[in-house]
Amino acid sequence: MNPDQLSHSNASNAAISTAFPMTITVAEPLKEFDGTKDAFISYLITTKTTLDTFSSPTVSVRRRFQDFVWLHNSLSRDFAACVVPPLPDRHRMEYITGDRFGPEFVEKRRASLQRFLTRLSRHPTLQKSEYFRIFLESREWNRESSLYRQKKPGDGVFENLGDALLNAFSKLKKPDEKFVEIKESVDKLEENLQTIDRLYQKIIKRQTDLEVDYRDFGSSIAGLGQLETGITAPLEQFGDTISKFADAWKRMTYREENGYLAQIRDYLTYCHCVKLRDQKQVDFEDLSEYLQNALMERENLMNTGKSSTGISSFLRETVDNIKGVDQEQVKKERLQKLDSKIAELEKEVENSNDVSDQFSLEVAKEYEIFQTAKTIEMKDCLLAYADSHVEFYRQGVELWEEIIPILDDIKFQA
Amino acid sequence: MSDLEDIDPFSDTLPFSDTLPYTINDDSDDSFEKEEENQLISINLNYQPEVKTQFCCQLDRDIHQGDFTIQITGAQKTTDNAGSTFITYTIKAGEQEVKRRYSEFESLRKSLMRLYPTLIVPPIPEKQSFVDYATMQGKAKEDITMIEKRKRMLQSFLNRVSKHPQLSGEHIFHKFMESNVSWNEVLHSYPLSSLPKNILQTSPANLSQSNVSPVNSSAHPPLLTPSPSQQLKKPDPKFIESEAFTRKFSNHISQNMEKTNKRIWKRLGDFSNDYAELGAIYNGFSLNESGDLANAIEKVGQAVDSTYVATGDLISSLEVEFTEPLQEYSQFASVIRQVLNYRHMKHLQMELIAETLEKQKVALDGLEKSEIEAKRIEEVLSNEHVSPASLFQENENNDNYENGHYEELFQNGDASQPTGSGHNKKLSGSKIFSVLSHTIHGIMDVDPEAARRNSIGKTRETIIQLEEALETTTEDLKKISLSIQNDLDRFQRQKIMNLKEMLIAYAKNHLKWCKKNLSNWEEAKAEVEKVQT
Repeated sequence: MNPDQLSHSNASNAAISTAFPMTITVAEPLKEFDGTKDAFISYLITTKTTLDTFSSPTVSVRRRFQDFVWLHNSLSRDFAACVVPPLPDRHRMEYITGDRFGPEFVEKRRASLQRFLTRLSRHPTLQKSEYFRIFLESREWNRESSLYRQKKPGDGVFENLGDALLNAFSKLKKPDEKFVEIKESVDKLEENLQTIDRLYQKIIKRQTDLEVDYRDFGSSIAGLGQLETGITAPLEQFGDTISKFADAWKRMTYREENGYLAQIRDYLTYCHCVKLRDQKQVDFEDLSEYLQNALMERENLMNTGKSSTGISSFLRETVDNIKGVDQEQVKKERLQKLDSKIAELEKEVENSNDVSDQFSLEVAKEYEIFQTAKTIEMKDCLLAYADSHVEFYRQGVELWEEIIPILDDIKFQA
Repeated sequence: MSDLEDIDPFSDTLPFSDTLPYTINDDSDDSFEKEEENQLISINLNYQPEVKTQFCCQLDRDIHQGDFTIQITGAQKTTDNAGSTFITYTIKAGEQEVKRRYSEFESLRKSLMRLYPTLIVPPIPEKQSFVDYATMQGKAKEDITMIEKRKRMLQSFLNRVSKHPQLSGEHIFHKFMESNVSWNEVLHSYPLSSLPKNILQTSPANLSQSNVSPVNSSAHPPLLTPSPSQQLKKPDPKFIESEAFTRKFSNHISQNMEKTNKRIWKRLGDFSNDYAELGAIYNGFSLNESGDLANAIEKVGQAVDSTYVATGDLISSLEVEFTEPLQEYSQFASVIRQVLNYRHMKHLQMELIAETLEKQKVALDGLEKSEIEAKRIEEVLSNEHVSPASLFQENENNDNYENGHYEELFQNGDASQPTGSGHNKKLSGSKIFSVLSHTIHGIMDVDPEAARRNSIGKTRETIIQLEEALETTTEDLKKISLSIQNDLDRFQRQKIMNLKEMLIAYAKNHLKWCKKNLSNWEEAKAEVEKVQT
C-alpha cells in the first residue's frame, strides 16, 4: 500500500464508522449538445461538507456519466482494499432502444448515481481521496483528471507481488473463520433481497391488473347509473370514487417498482461487489512457504551447483553439459536471479504478515462500513416502502369515507 | 271488428274493486297442521299495509308483525329410505322448525309462480350445473363453500317472500316453514292440485273474484292458447318499454357488472396469497439481521401479514354483501321477463279470442242470412207467382259463406230449384222443393235445413262462450296489467333500496380494509423510523 493509504487507514482504524459529514446531491439532468451525435446528459453535483480538503463548504459542478466511470475506476485501482460501490450498468437496454434520453431512464440513472456518491461520501477512506475531491469540485476537470489518468498503477498490495504470484495464491485455501461468517451473512442478505425482487415482480403485475379491474368495475357501476335514471348521479360519483381508487393503486405500484425495487436491485449489485472483494484474499501462508522453497533452492545451488528440484533441472544441466555451456557462468546467473527473487520474497514475507494482518483488518473494516451503509440504506428503503403503503391506504380511507354519505342520501323517487 | 277497437285494457277509468271478499277459515291457531280438503282460502289481492288484521295462521301473524326474520340454521346430508343422499336445510321461522331439501324449495317457488303469475316471485339459487358437479367431485372445501352460499341465498329467498305484500300472506308458504308438515301433501292438495297445467288457460288464480277456484269448474272451457311467436296487433307501449328495459338491465348486470366484479374478487384473492408469501419472506429476512433493523423488517413483515388477513376478510364480506345480491338481481331480471311474457301471452290471447269471435259472428251472420233466404224461397215457391228469373236473380245475391258445406249444398239445392220450377210451372213449387230436397237428402244423407239450424245453434253457443271469454280475458288483462304494474313499482323501490345497501356495503368494507391496513403500515413506518444510524 502506498503511504498515503496506509496512514489514512491507520487513522481510521481507531474510528471505523466515522466519516466526515458530507451530503451530496445529484440533480438537474441536462441534455447537452442536443441535436448532435455527441449529445449527452450532465448532472449537477452539489456537495456540502466540513472536510478541510475541500475549498469551500458548499460546492457545485456538472459531470457526465463518463466522469463517474473515471472516478470509479480510479478508486477501484488505487484503493484495492476498499469496496468501491458499483456504478449503474453502462450497457442498458435503453442504449440499444435509443431511449437513453427518456425521462424515466434519466431519473433512474440520476437516483442510482446519487446512491453511488452517497455511499462514497460515507466511506471514511474513500471520501478523503484526491480523486473524489477532484470529481466533486474541480473547475479544471479535463486537466486535473487527465493528470491522474496517466498515473502508473499504484503500489497496491497485489501489484508488488507481480501478477504471476498473485494468481498462484489467489484462492481461499484456508479461509479465515471471520471471512466465512461475513461471506455467509452477505450471501443470506443477497438471497433475501433476490427473493423479494422475484416475488415483487409478480406483485407488481398483480397490482397493475387489479388497477385495471377496478377501473372496469367503476365503469360498469356508472353504466348502471345510466340505466337507473333515478340514481344516475350517486352512481356516477361511485364510479368516480373507484376510478380514483384505481389511480391510488397505480401510484403505489409505481413507487414500489421505481423506488423500492430499484433500490433493492441496486443494493444487490453492491452486495455482489463486496463478495467479489472477499475472494481476492490471498493466502500468505502459502507465500512464505514458497519463499522457504526458494531459499532452499538457493542453498542447493550454491552448495552443489545443482538445482535440487527435479528432473527438469537435471535435464537442463545435462543439456547444458552437452552443449558445453559454461557451468560456472550459468550457475552465477542463476544464483543472481534467485538472489533478487529471494530478496524480493524476503521483503514480502517480512511484510506479508503485516500485510496479511492489514488486509484482514481492511476487509473487516470494509465490512463494517458495508454494514453501517446497509443499515442506513435499508432504513431509507423500508421507510419509502412503508410510506408508499401508508399513502395508498390514507387516500383509500379518504375516498371511501367521502362516498358513503352520498350513497346514504339515495332516496327512491317515485 | 269494431269490438276490438273498443277494448282498452289500460284505461284509467277502470271500475276496479280494491277490496275483495276475504274469507278465512281459521279453525284454530295452533292446529293448522290438519289439512282439510274443503278449506276455502282466498288470496289477498291488494296490499294495504295497515289493513291486515286477519291472519290465517300463527306464522302469518308473526310474519306481519314487526321485525321478523327467517333463518336457515343448518345444512346436513340426509339419506332417505330409498338410499339416495341429499342435503336438507333447517329452516327456523318463529317457533317453527323444519327441514327441506332444494327440490322442495324449487317446487315451492314454482307453485307460487303458478298461483301468482302477475307477481315477481323472488329467485332461488340455481340448480347446480352438471359441469359444476363434475369439476367439484372430491373438493370438499369448495363443497362447503357452495353449501354455505346456498344456505345464504335460500334464506334470502324466504325472507324476500315474507316481505312481499301479497306473497307473504300465502298459506302454502307458511306451510312450507311449518314443523311436521309434509310438503308432498301440500303439493297434492288444494289449491295446488287444482291448478291447470297451462296457466294461460284460465284467469290468474290470484286475481280471480270468485271464492271458489275459477280454474276448477269444468263448465268453464279452457281459453284459447295463442302461439308465442305471434305479434300483438295493438301492443301496449308501456309494457313494450318495460320489456326493453328489462332486457337491457339483465344484460348489464350479467355481462358487465357480474363479470367485472368477479374479476376483482378473484384478483384480490391472488393478491392476498402473494402477500402471505411476502410476509413470510420478510419474517425470514428479519431473522438474518439484528438490532433495530431486524425489528423494523419484522414490523414490515407484520404489516404485510395483516394486509393478507384483511384482504381475506374483504373478499368474503364482498361475496356475501355484494356479489350474492347482485346475482339475485340478475335472476330477478329473468323473473320479470317471465311475468311480462305472461302478460304478453294474455294480451295475445285476448286478441285471438276477439278475432275468433269476430269470425264466428261473421259466420253466424252468413248462416242466418242463408236461413232467411231459404225461408223466403219457400214462401215464394208456395205462392207460384214468381218468375224463375227473379228467383234466379235473388239467388245470385246470396253470398258465399265459409262455414260448413251445408250452406253450399243448400245453395246448390237452391240453384237447382228455379231450373226445375222454371220448366215445371204447373207443378207445385213446394212439392218440387220437397221432392228435390228429399232427393238430395237421399244422396247426402243429411237434412240441410236441420244441419244449418244445428250450425246456427252451435255458432250462437260458441259466440256466447267467446263473448264471455273475451269479457273475462279483457277484465283479466286489465287486472293483470295493473297487478304487474304495481308489483313492478314495488320491485323498483326494493331494487333501489337494495342497490343502495349493496353499494354502501362495498364502500364500507373497502373503508374498513383501508383503515386496518393504514394503522398497521403506520406502525411499521414508525418502527423503521426508530432505526439508529
